Amino acid sequence: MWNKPKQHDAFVITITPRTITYSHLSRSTNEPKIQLQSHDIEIFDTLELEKLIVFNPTIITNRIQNHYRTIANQSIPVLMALNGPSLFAKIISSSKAHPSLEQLNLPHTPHMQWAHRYLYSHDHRHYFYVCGLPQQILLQFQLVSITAQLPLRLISTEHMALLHLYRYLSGTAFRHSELGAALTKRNNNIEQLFSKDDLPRVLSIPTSQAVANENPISLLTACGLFVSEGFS
Amino acid sequence: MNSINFIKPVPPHQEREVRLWSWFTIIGSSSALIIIGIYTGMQWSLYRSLFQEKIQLKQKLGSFDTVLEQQRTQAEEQEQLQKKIDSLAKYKTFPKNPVSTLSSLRAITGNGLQAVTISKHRFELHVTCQNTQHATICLQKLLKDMRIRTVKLISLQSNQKQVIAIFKGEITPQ
Repeated sequence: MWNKPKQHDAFVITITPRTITYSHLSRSTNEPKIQLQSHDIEIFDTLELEKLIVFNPTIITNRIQNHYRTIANQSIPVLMALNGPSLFAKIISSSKAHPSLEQLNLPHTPHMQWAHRYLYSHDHRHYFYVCGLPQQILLQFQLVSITAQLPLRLISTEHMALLHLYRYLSGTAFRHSELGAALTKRNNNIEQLFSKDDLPRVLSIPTSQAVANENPISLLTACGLFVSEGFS
Repeated sequence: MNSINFIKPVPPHQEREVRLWSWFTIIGSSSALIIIGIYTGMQWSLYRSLFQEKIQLKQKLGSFDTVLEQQRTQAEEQEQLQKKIDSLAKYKTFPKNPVSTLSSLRAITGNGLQAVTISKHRFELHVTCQNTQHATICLQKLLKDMRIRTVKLISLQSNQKQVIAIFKGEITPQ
């Protein structure tokens, strides 16, 4: 029987200390690559947004809402990735394979929300990606999404999105040990896991989109969030 | 490697279910309210019409008590009248009723009868006659009457051109 191809859409917002990047990604089940429908970056120089803290929620909400309404004219899920100094993100080693948050020697900060994921093992040590987000930052972006009437599905970190993309690009050949080797080689810098050829492998950019000169990390992050939600 | 998500969003299918149930609830509640409203409206309309009818009937039956009192008074009067009628009828059909006797005496004496006194079985008549012959005829007629057992001409008094005859006698007991 003939099956109608199903299309998944997502509106990805990547927030850095002073910029917000908007990406509308979609993918049909019969196409190998993710399609970039639209992409835009906005820089805030007048302290509307500083170190992930929204100082002018009205402007930020209106900008996000305007981009969502113009780019995505239908109700599609919104995925959000954060990156900045307010965010704690670190690769921490532990002697235990399944440590709790208390066993990871994290600073005592009850105002932060913590999460960690296993990355690799090396020399009888287990390495974990640990990230912490202040509760007030999490709350402010949730309030922004509620005010802008966005169907927010995910708030994660940029590194987590890149790790997901790395695993997606590796496919069935993905091994934690291979990830560990690559990270060790690059001094645990997750952004350097990707080469220039990786973005065209996963993302199809139409000629109408002028994103050639931009930093590909925001697009890679968008793709990582997209695949992490199971749209791949 | 599961994704890190700092929020716990409602899954789309659950959101759809919640939306569906919300619509069901809204539609069901609205339908129930409409049905209850219609039913209450009908009851209210019926109550209003009955209330109006009650006011009209109260106005119509305002003089009912007076009429009922009059009717009761008239019924009592009628009852008393009926008692009197019955009593009169009883007297009329009473065997000792002197009416028939008086009627017969009146018929015998004609227009000359001046006074009648009846006491039990005895009677006394004062009759004005034209002459003595006429008084004799009256006596004979009285003697012939079945209701009169005995009769006597007590006196005859001349009064100008007429004669006043006084008869005394006894009535036949019945």
